[in-house]
Order: sequence, then structure tokens, then C-alpha cells
Amino acid sequence: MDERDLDRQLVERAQRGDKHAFELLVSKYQRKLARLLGRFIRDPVEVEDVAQEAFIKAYRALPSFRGDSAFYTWLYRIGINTAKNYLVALGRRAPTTTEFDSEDAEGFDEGEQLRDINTPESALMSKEIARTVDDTMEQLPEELRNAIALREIEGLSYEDIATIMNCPIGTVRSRIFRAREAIAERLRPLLETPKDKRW
Amino acid sequence: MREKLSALVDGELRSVDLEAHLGRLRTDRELRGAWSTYHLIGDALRGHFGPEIIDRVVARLRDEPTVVAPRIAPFKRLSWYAMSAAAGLTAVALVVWTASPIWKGPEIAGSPVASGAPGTAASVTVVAAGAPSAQAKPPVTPAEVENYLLAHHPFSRTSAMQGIAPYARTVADERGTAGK
Repeated sequence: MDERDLDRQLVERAQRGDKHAFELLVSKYQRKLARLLGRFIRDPVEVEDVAQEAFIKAYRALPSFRGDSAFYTWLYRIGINTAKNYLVALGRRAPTTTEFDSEDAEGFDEGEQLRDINTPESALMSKEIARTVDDTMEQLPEELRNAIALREIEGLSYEDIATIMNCPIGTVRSRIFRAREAIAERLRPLLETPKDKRW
Repeated sequence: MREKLSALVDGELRSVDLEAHLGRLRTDRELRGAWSTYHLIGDALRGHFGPEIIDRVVARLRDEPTVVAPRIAPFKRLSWYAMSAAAGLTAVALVVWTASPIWKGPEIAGSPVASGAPGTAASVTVVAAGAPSAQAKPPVTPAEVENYLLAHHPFSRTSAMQGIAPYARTVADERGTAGK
């Protein structure tokens, strides 16, 4: 099983009427979709509105999703179309199809076009969370830090990480879990704040 | 439990554990919170900062009618492939049937069998004799069988003359045409 299989399982559950399964997909892709929309919608509040609308449209369109493409590729197209319609309705310039090909969806990374899509209220909290994650990463034992970095930043599979770190896959799984728990523990006080006050 | 969730987030959980764990996620709020936090940590490590809109989406989803989509059964996909394969085989069979000299009417028309050459009547008689019939048929003589086999020899798959006989006929036809 890989991430695409997992998404497909969640979609199939949502298609059978399990709204919680769809919520897990929203939780997973909310920031990625918002960053995509932030490439051509300047106002962070509008980005949130359009992202929310895109997720609702995706939920309504679930019966038409047949799994021919990855879920995020499909969601990406819905997000782009929702943003286009939104901008056209406001009489603003909508992105052309060549600006956002669906092939970009999987490897979407706008590093050089990064800009702040947080509302002023959440910007401070975003920085606080980022700083906490960075600080905790620096304090982690090297094997935990390397394991989670190889997974989350480099996107490697457990098998590849096990080869690089010269250890069993079970050890990789345990190290990544311990790293996550350590960071989550440090984030807990921040995450207990209302979600609409943070990113 | 949470270690399995961590593996699930990475798409590294064994398939046999997947259904059970997704079921637990459905009912366990704490696990769903951990799912959200693990994804938040991943996004933070990648520098993916963005708004958290999950609560607003969930609130709107509550007002949405529940989606129940018809499931695409595996056998339907299989039957689609089977139909495609059957269509392909039918097409191949059609091409083979139309290209085979045995089934070509016009070529047979030019053969001695159709032109009233000796053996034609015998061949018809032999075929008819094999079928049940109320009418009395004259007995087939060995000479008639021999004529039948001789007339059909060029069309036999095992004939060593198959490559030469049609050519010989073609030459004869061309000469005949030229002479007219």
C-alpha cells in the first residue's frame, strides 16, 4: 500500500457515505490546496473561502470520481476551476490552462513563488509553530531527525530509508513515529488554541 | 496504535491492517487528532504554511446530503476487458475468414469446379450424400471421389502444390484475357 492507495481507500469510504473519511482527506490536503490557490489569489481570506468551496464541490462530485487519477490530481483540477470561476465572477483575470497543467499537481512545489497566504491573525501562530518544529528537530537524536527528514522532506519510502540508514524497516517506522510524537508533544500547547486562530 | 497511525499516514501500513485502522479512525477522535497533527508536522517540515480550514469544511459538510455513490464492482471492470478481448478476437477471426482462399467465392468461380469441368457434379453429389436426405441418391463411385479430390486439391491446406497451382491458373487467365 502507498499513499495513493490510502487516498483511494478513503475516497471509497466517503463514496459509501462515510463523511469522516472525507474529513481525513481535507485534513491532509487543506494546506497544500490553499498554497496552490494562493499562487493566484492574493487575499488570504479569499484563499480560505475558495479552498473551502473547492472541498465542498469535491465532496458533491465524489460519485463521479472513478480513481483513474490520484485524488489530489482530481482535487487540484476542482480547486483551479473553483478559483477561475471565483475570479471571473469578480471580473478579475483568471489563470489560463497552460499556467496550471494537471501534470503539475503531483509534484506541485512553489518554493520560489512562496509568499504568505496567512491572515494577519494566524501569521504569528504560523511562525510560532514553524519555530517549535525547527527547534524540536534540532534537539532530536540524529537517527530520529534523519529518519523523519528523509520521509517528510525527501519523500522516501520506508524501504529506501532503511537502505540508507542501514537498519530494518521496523526500526525506520519506529524512529519516524518517535520523532513525530516528540514534535507533537512540543506543539500540543500551541495546538490547543482554537483552530481559527492558527494556520 | 499511534505507531500504526504514523505508518498509515506514510502509506506504509500493511494492507491487511488498513481496513481495521480506518475503522478506528472513524470512531476515535484522539486518533483523528493525531492524524491531523502528523500531517501538520509534515507540512511544517516542508515549509508548507497555510490556513487550517478543516473546521469550516466539516461544519459545511454536516449540512451536505450524504454522498452514496454506486460502487464500481471489480467484475464490471473485468467484463469490460473481456468484452474488449472478445471484440478483438472477433475482428481477427473476421479478417482470417475473409482472407482465406477457401472461403473466397470469386476465386472458386474461376476454378474448374465452377466452370463445369469434370468432377463438379460428383463433388456436389459427394457432399449431398453425407447429409440426411429423403431423396434416393445414386451410390458414389471411386472415380467420382477421385475427381472430387482432384478438383479440390489446390485448396487443400496440406497440398504441396498450393503455392504453384494458383499461379498457374493466373497465368492461364492472363493469357486467355490477352488472346481475347
